Amino acid sequence: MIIKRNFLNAMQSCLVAGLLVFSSCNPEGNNTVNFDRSAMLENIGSNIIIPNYTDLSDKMNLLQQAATDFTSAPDNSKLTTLQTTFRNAYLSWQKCSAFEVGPAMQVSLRMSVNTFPTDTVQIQSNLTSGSYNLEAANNIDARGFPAMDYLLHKRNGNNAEVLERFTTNPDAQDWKDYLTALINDTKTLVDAVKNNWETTGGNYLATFITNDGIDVGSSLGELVNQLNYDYEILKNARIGIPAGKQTLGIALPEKCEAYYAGYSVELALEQINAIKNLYLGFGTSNGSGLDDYLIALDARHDNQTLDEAIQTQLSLAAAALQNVPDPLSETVVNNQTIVNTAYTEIQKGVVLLKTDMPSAMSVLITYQDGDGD
Amino acid sequence: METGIKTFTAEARRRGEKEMINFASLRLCGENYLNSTTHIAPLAVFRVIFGGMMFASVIRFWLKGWIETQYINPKLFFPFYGFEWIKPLGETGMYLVFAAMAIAALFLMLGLFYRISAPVFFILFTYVELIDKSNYLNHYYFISIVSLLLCFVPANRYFSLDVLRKPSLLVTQIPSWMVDIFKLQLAIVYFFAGIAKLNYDWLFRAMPLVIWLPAKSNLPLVGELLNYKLTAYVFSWFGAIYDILIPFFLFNKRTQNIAYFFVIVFHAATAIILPVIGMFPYIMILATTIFFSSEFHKNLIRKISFGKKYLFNHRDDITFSFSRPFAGKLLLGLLCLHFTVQVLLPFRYLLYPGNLFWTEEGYRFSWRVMLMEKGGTVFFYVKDLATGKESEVVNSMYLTRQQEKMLSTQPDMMLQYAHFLAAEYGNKGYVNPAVRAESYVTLNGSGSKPFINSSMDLTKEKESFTSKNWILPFEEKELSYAER
Repeated sequence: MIIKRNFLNAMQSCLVAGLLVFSSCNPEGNNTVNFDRSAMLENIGSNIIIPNYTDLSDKMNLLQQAATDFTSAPDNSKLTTLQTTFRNAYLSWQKCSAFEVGPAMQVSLRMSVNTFPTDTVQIQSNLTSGSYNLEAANNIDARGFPAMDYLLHKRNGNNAEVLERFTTNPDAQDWKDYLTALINDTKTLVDAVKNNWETTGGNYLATFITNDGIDVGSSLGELVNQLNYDYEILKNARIGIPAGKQTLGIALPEKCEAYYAGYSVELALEQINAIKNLYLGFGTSNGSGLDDYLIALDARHDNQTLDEAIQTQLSLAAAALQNVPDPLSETVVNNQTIVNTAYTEIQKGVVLLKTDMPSAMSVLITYQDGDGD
Repeated sequence: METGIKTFTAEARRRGEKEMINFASLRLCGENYLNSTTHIAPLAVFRVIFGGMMFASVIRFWLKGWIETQYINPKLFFPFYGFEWIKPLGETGMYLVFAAMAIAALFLMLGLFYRISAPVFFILFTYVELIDKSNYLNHYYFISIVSLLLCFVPANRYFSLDVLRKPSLLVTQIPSWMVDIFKLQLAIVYFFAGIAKLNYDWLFRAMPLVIWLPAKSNLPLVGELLNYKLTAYVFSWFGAIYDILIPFFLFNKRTQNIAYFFVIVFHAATAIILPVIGMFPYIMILATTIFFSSEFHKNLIRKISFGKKYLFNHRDDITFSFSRPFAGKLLLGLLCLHFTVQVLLPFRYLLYPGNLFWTEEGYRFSWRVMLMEKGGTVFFYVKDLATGKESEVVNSMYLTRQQEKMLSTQPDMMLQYAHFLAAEYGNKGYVNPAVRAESYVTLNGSGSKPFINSSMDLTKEKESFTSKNWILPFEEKELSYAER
C-alpha cells in the first residue's frame, strides 16, 4: 500500500510539474487551435470548385457552339474563333484539374479529358474507321483536350493546313465527326460532374462540407492528396518529362501539353495559379483556405510560418515558369537552363505541399487505407 | 565443537551472512517459483482469445484487399536486413498463405491440432511480416512473439477440441511460469512503450499529440477539447505514466481490477483519437485479461461452455510434466535468453549517434508506438556514367504509396531502393548507374529539412548494423524555434 501511495504521489507530482512546465514554456504560442474545417470546405466547395466547374461548362458550351458553326461551313475566320474558344476552354480546365474528388473522381475526369501526349495514330485510326468508343480504355489518349488540340492545330501554325482537313480532305467529314464527338464527350463529363456538385443536382457540396474529418476519404484528406497529385502533374508531365528530366536530360518536346497549339506554359501557369487559389481559399475574394488552417495550426518552416514558406515558394515557381517562353516544345530544346530553373522551383514546392502541409494537418498522403501502430 | 560453530557463525555474520542467506533464500525462492503450479484456465482462455483475434485480423486484412495491395501488387519488396532471402509467393501463393494462416488461427482458437496449428500460424504470420518492412507494425511484432511463445506451452490441453478428441491430453495444473511469460511479455510492451515516451518532445512539447489531436476536433462531445494544447499535454503525460505503471498495477491482485478499467479506457481512447491504429487496441484489451486470476478464467470457461460439463468439469489435479525433464530446462533457458533480448533490444539505439527519431537506427522492435509525426519527400536520381547525365526517378512507377511513404523517412529503405534502381536502370542500358537521393523530412513539426547527403552515391553503400554516415544530423536548434 505504501508503494502504491508513493506511486500516486509521484504521479501527482509529475502531472503538476508537467502542467507548470507547459504553462511556463508556452507564453506566446496559441493554446488552442481555432479553426472551422467545414467552413473552409464550404468556401472551397461553393466559391471555388462549383464556380470553376460552371465556368468550364460555359466554356464548353461556347466551344460546342463554335464547333457546330465551323463544321457546318468551315472557313478560316470560323477556325480562328474555334481555336480561341478551345483555348479558353482548355485554360478553364486547368482551374478544375485539381478537384479530382467526389464526382470527378468517380468518372476519372482528369484522366478522361486531359491525358497527354495524345496518340495521333490512334486518333487517325478512329477517325477513318468511324467506329470508336471514346470511353474504351484504348482511347484514353485519343480523347479530351489533347485530342482536340491535335485536330485543331498544326505545329507550324499554318491554319490553311488545318482547314484542309475539314474541307478538301477526302476524310473531311470524319474529321468533323471526330471533333464533334470529342467535344460532346468532354462536355458530357464536365456537365455531369458540375451537376453532381450543385445543390440543385446531386448536391455533393453538402457531403463535401459534412465530411470534415482528416482521415483517408475525408474531404480535406482527398483535397490535399489531389492538390499534391495535380501539383506533381505540373512538375512531371507538364514540365519535367518534356525537359528530359527522366531521360538523362534528353528533351522530349512532343510530350508537351498542347503540343500542337503551342501554349503549354500558359496552361501550366493557369494551373499553378489555380493551385495557389485553392490553397488560399481564393474564389472571388480571399476566403477560408488551407493557408488559414496552417496558420491556426501554428505550423512552421525554418524561421517563418509554413504558410509564408508555401506562398513564397508557389510565387517563386510561378515567376520562374513565367520566364519560360512558349512554345515549351522549342524552349526545352533551345534553352534548357531556363526550364531547369522553373523545374527546380516547382520541385521545392512539392516538398512543402507533400511533406510539411500534410504532416502539420495530420493528413495522410496515400490513396490506400492501412493500419499504423 | 559448539564453540567452533558459534565462532563460524559469528564470523559469517561479520562477513556478511546477510548476503549468503539472501542468496540462498533467493535461490530457494526461484526454485519454489519454478516448481509452483497454477490452473491452466488463464492460458486456455488466452489461446481462445488470441486465436479468435488473429482469425478476425486475417479475415479483415483479406476483406480490405490488403493481400493484393501489400503482397501482390508491389513491384519490389523491402525485406529486413539478413532476411533478404524471404520472398513473396505470387498471387496464388499469397492467398494460400493467408488462407492457411486463417485456418491455423481458427484451430488455435479451437485448440485443434494445436501442436501443428500453433507453429504453422507463427511461421506463416512471421513469414508475411518479413516480406516487406514497409508494413512493419509493433503489434505485428508482438503477434509474432506471442505466437512463438504459444508454440512452447500446452495451451490446448484444457477447454479444447484436442482434449475432446484425445481426453488423455487433459491437464489442469501447469507451471506458473507458463502463464507468467505472457504477462511478462505484455508488461514489457507497456513498460518500454512508456519508457520511449520519456523524451523531451513527448513530455514538454506534447508532440506528436499536439498535432494529431486537433485533427480529430470533428468528433462529437470531446472534439472541441482536442483543440486545446493543454489536452495534448494531459494525454501525453497520462499516456507515459499509464504505460510505465500499468504492468505493476496489473500484476498486483489488489489493483488489477481498477488497472483493467484503465486498460479499457486507454485503448478505447487511442482507437478513437489516434490515426489509423487498426486492431491493436482490441488485441491489447483482450490479451490483458491473462492477468486475472485462474478463478476468474475458470468461471469464464464455465460460463461460455453453456452447461456442457464435459468442457470444464474436470478433476483439478492433473499436473503437466515435460516428457523429458531436460526439455523443460532447455525451454526455461531459451525463455531467459528471449526476455534478456527483449529487455536489451530497445536500448540498442544507444550504440548509434544522433537523434533516434531522426535516423531511426535502432528504432524498430522496441515498442516505440505512435511516438512521432514524421513525413518526408524523396527524389531519386540515377546517373549514367557513360554520359554523366542523370534522370529523375518516378517513384510511383516502382513503389506503392505505402512503400513510398515509409521509404521517405527511413534511410535503410532508401538504400534498398537505390540498389534496386541501380539494377533496374542498368537493365535499361545505363552504364554503371550511380544513384543519389534528395530527401526532406519533417519530424514533430520541425518543418522539412534535408535528411540524407544528396551527393552520396548510394549504390556504393551497403546495409549493415553500423551507423549510416550519410544521414545528415537533425538540427535541434531549428526545432526549439518551432516550439514558440
